[in-house]
Amino acid sequence: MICRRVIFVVLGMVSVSVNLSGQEERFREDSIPADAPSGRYMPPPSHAPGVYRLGIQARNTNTGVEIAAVTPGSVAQRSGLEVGDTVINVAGYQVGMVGGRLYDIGDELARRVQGDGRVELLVRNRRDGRLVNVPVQFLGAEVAAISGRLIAQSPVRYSASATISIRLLDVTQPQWQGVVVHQMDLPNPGQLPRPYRLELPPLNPNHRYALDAYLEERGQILLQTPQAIPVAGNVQNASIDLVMTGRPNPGPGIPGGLQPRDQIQQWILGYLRRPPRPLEIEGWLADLQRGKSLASVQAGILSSSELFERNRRSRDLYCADVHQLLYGQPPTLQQMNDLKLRYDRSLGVRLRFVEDLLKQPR
Amino acid sequence: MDANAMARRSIVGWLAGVLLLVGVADAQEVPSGAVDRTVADSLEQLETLAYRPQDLVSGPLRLAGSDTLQQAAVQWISGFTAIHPEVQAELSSSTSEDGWAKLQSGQCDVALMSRPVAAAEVERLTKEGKRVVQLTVGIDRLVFIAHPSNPIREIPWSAEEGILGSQSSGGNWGRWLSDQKEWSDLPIALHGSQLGSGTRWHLERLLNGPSAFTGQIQEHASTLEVVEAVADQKGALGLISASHGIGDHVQVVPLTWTIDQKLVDDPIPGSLRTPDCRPLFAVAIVESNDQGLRWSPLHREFVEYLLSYAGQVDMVKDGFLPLTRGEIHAQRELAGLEIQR
Repeated sequence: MICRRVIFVVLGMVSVSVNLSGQEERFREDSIPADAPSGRYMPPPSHAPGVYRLGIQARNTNTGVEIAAVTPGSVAQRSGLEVGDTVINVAGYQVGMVGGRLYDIGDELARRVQGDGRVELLVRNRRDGRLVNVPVQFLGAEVAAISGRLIAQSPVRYSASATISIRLLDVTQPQWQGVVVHQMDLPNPGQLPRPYRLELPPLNPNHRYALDAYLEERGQILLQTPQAIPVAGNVQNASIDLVMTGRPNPGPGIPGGLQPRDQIQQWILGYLRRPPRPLEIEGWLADLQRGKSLASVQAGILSSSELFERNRRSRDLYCADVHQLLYGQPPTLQQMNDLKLRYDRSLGVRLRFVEDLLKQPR
Repeated sequence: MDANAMARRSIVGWLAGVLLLVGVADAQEVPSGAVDRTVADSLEQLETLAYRPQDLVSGPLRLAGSDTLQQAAVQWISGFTAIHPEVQAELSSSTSEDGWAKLQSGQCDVALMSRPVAAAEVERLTKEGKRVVQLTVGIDRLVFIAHPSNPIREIPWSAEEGILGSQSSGGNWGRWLSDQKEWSDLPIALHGSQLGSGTRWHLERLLNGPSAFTGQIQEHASTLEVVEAVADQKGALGLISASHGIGDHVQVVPLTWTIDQKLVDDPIPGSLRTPDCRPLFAVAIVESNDQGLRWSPLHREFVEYLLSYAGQVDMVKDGFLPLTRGEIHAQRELAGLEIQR
């Protein structure tokens, strides 16, 4: 297949380049290579989105990002931006609604602000409608970050497929266990100790936050900080070492000694009779990372719409199939009656039915 | 800037499509089997859109509607009430119509729908001073299936004509297989889900475009029954949700369209989704004033949850596609949530 690039000009100032193989790249007009390869579309921001805050309330339009309000004392005010101005592009990359797709100005700033905090915006001045280049300078003090070292207190072996995750938790309410408001993953972390730097999104000054970290491989947590470490709500460039130890309570082993990722894969293969889709494994592992149990993952897969559809959306067929999948044999008449009762008691909410079954088996 | 030669092409597949606004090249056929990806399906893109609760909320939260969203809704409730344990969530799972009716009568707070609310209904409520907020919370990929012996490899679609033509009530396979003697006179036997279901609504839209479909569609109570019927009937054509699994007894037939076609009738703001991508909705009726939409703290937190990484993971777990970052930002704007940057 020949990939072609179609280039057209918007507003005479910015180019949007569309690779006809289906991936879109947006380049500055003067930087479009003659025969650029079709790369990955829109890499994730290199900085945490929201790290570079202009201090505006934004309204996305087809011609850019309209400024609806300017925060006093903000970078936007300092740079001369006013209500009614429209930001057309960030460092040459158009923002707002482009070709029916939304390009968020916060995401674009996270990608384009240079190491020294500088970035240039193309802005339509609301007073005279003229386009002007507005240089913006984010000061170091305006970028909140926590840095330090990741330390392993217990020796543990791990391979290049391991990942360290550093999480900022909102702990304002005692009920808020595992409310992750920001996370940074370090794949293939190499040897410990090693440094880290976590840029912070805007934090609520009325909330309390804490930091934790863990090292996992194939869904199994090998090291983690014993407790989350409190951080100040208005932290600026704090330094916190994260000391990880072996899991104090590893919990019961998974039958067969399987890693969580492999166990989830096996359940999908066994229950849904097909290989897992890539996003599926990701989704279930995300649940484990948020503190859910493997049992809840098992219940989720067994209660899926797919399994229900495969049983013709019939309560009886579905209950019998779940029994067969869990216990390896069809239910007796008495067991079937019990299953139907449980199902009806859960008002047809399959997840509740299966969770009940797993908690109180036959 | 070099100007490349324009070429005619069409894009195959259910993840394809880039909408061009101005000066678009003529389309050319893309070999079948090619799959183009514009939309980032990965959850990785959404990890930084974490749910950040602003306040601890409490009270009743009543969800009702399409059972397509039952499993995701249960996961939402589980995740949301883990953070807000004083919320008493209820779920009533049946049809989109039922959810919409309950929303209008005040029997639920959020309707779960697998088809959009009719524009006329939105307009009627708007005239009564009520603001209908229809949020896309995930994507269901729909696929056409055909008998395994059918030589069809792709079906052309357009927004104006659908796949059958704007006034057509069916026809023969000869419209696409005119050179195949065995198939050219064989009637297209349509199979789908029951009238009133969201999948059925989308089937009729894909068949005829904006015109009402007047032909016959054999109805089935489940996806499996549609698959079995198509596997059993040579001239059959069915539409199912890819999230339910397809199996080996039928073939998937992708849609094709020319690149300068408008891709979707009901565009999701900030998206470039293709016609075989069905948006799934959470709908609420919200008071508004000059300052914008006035959500209750509980409902606002719930919407924030749906449009966060956590809420999107819950959709993925039941086989749906998550929204992209751009789509989430656009939905947040639609919900009247402030965009502070």
